[in-house]
Amino acid sequence: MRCKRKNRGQEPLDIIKTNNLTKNFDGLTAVDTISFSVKKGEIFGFLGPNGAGKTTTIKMLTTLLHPTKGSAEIAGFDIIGARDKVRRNIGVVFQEPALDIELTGGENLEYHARMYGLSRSKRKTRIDDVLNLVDLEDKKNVLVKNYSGGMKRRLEIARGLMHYPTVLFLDEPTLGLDAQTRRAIWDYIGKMNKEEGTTIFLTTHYMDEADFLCDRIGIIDHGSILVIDSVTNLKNSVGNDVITLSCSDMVKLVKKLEEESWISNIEQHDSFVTLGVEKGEEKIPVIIEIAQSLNIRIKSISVRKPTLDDVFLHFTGRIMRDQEATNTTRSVPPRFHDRRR
Amino acid sequence: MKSVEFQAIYIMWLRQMKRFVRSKSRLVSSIVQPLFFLFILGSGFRVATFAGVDDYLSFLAPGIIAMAILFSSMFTGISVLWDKQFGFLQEVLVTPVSRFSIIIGRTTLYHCFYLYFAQLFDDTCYK
Repeated sequence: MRCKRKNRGQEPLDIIKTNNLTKNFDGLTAVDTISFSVKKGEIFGFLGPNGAGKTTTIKMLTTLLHPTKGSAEIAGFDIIGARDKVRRNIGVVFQEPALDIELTGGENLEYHARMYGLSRSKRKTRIDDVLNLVDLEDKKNVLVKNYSGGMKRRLEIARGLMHYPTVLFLDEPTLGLDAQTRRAIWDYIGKMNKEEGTTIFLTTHYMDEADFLCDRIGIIDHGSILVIDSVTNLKNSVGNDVITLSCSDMVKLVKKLEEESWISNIEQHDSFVTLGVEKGEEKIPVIIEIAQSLNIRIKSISVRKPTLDDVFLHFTGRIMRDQEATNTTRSVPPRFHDRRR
Repeated sequence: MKSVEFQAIYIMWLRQMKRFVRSKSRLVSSIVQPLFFLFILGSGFRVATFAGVDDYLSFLAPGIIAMAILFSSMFTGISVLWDKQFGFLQEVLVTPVSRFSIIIGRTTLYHCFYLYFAQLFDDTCYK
């Protein structure tokens, strides 16, 4: 179900390119000299907790905010020098819904398309196309104020696609939606990336979302990018299996474990220790033996495959502040999924 | 100016118009209120004589028109703030349309409406 795009033959083109982009707000540095590039046709995710600077970055890239320092280019156009050309190339779905609720879904799309100068015949077919993509064709003539939260979100995504943008910016596209709707929206995002070849730049603080959707991920915290890499590489950097344990004397145990060569990385956190190892199940008895020999009582121990949570922890040294929905959506029974179609 | 700018002005106007027509209370109040002033107040004071005023109704009418324009301008301003509050303004601002056209488009609704209204008053009061 993952939507990986392959670059066939030609060299991938950088659609978004930033160079030391910085934004200060009265002494607070919201975005701190970030430089990255996004290739054509890929889904790039910005992952970070609330207040990390994700939305500020999007606002700068979508020409709504003027950067304090640095520059960025979208589809080859400078975000300061060639704003209108940038605006023509981007579609944006904001964090808060930005629909006119007194208009119908169709009208919202129609007006949007006209602002971009689409011709009448093109508008007509395009509205049907995008509504089809998000399964809202039967709600075309319903006032948006009668839509549900998920339907509004889908309509916004459809609107972002109306004018054939080169890049679509999605700022927390599934914020505040229930598990089934989130899953459906992931499908739409994957579908439009595949069918329309739209490059997608999304921000999220949901690990599973970034994991499911993105080709590459940038982890951002306190305004700076900590790491950018593909999901697989990021997970591999943590180790094949992750053992989490808590015990009575962590410092002593960590010191002892650091001598063991089979542990690829070891990290101590406030109340627990994580170890990156191979074949984690077989290592648990070994660790317990070591602990017992040191007279340390182990309170709990578990082994699992690394998730982006571990990656985040690895690079920031702390757990995401918002992680209530982590790993819950995968278990949605299929019948729920089908009902909403 | 490019044609897309005219499109944008028209769209902003059309949107305001649609919203205006759809919210019945606003539509009714903006028509009824000036008429209420004009006819109730106007006919009530008609019998009174003021120095230098021949016909009270034609004395009152310009004031009511000015008041209606004042209120509607305030409404326009507030509706921009509403849009900002609900995030719709952001969506308009990322479109490749100049800020100038957006403002023009937003304000023309009331220009049209009250030009029409002034004409109506003119017909009834200054024949």
